[in-house]
Amino acid sequence: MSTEARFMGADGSVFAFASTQNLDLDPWDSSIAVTGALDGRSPDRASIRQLHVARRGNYDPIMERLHAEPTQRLSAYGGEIVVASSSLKGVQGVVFWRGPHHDVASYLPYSMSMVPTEALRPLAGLEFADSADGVVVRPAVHLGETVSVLSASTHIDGVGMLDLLPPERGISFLPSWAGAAVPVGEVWHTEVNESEYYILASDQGVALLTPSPRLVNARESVENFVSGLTALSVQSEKEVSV
Amino acid sequence: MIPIPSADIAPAGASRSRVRVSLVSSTFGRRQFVRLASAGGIALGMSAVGLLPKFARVAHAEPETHNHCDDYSSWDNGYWGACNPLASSGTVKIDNFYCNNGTPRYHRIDTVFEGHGIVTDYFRRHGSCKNKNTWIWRIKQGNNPPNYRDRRCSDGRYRTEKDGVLDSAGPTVCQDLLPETATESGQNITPDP
Repeated sequence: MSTEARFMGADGSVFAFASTQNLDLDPWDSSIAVTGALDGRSPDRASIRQLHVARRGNYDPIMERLHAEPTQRLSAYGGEIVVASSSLKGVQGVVFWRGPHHDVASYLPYSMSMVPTEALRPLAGLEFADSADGVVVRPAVHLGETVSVLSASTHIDGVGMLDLLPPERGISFLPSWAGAAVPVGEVWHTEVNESEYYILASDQGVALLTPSPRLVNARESVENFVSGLTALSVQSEKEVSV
Repeated sequence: MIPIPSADIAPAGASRSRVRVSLVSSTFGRRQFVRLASAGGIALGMSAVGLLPKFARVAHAEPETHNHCDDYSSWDNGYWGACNPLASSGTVKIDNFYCNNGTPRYHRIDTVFEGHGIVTDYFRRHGSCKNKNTWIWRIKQGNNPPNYRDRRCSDGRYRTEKDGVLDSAGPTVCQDLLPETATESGQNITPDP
């Protein structure tokens, strides 16, 4: 028994890993950024919209917990955009596009969730192409916006949370000295403010592994996982299409 | 047991990381290095990896907090997302419920058994905010509610399962309002850590 996991990021990049072990994985989720053209008149960070991609249905229990009901439903790109605002004053609302396989979402400040046009702002001007592998997000109108993936994550039962990072971001986590040699590449350990995590690197990708808080012996579980890891890669859309 | 080295302190006599060299080379390309070297007047004989110091991890345990983040609250017409650097969008769930009980407070890392088969695990997201986890908004406009008070934010995520099956998951932010101190001018500010 073995495992091969693959996820297509919102920018068309492909995140993947393989193991000799039979792993119990959650569906992937991903944090993405839609970055607008910088105009020099507002803070650069203000031109970034951050969205969360998760499996379809992820935001149903979230609406329940927010005490939120849908206030708008609009058909869009083979799915629908749903705006939900909370019945509790001051509690955040949520807006998401729901496709056949995935939700693409942003929470909303309470005041924003109560204004119909404002609530749509996080998803404005975006197109979605959904498939079982992932959802590709593209600006509908070319205003100099770009879509990038910040991380793609999956939970591995009995191990923890695995976050795969694009190389440009992942490299900054790597020490210059060698990590422990494992079949996939190298591994390091670090602990900051009483929270530990592991850094995994192959020739084709970087991942952060945060052990599950339920583990009694996290070190042993992580070592067992990395000993079975045989591939770890993040390929840009350009590399994938070659 | 595999002896896994620290990512923060170089072991004595450590050799160079092969995968890092390989990744940097494949990500940024040999031609890019040559251009960088030429532009900077740097001897081409230098290690290509060495040309990219900003991509190197610092060789010590890095504090995980940005202490002085810019104040966007006046710019953003009231939609400033309290604990969110991405000004116009609330993006993630923000609450002090997601904070631990430490001093200072960071995103919780524990498991909560909520009853009725519902169990939630909390994780911290390291390096989520420009390679750090935590940031402090320094608000310069006094303490008018709801947003105008200094606060510490720490990134994390949750995963809830119901009867052993994934229910929902996603990013969360621990928001901790910081204590205020009155200055001689009468304005309340948050003291530096």
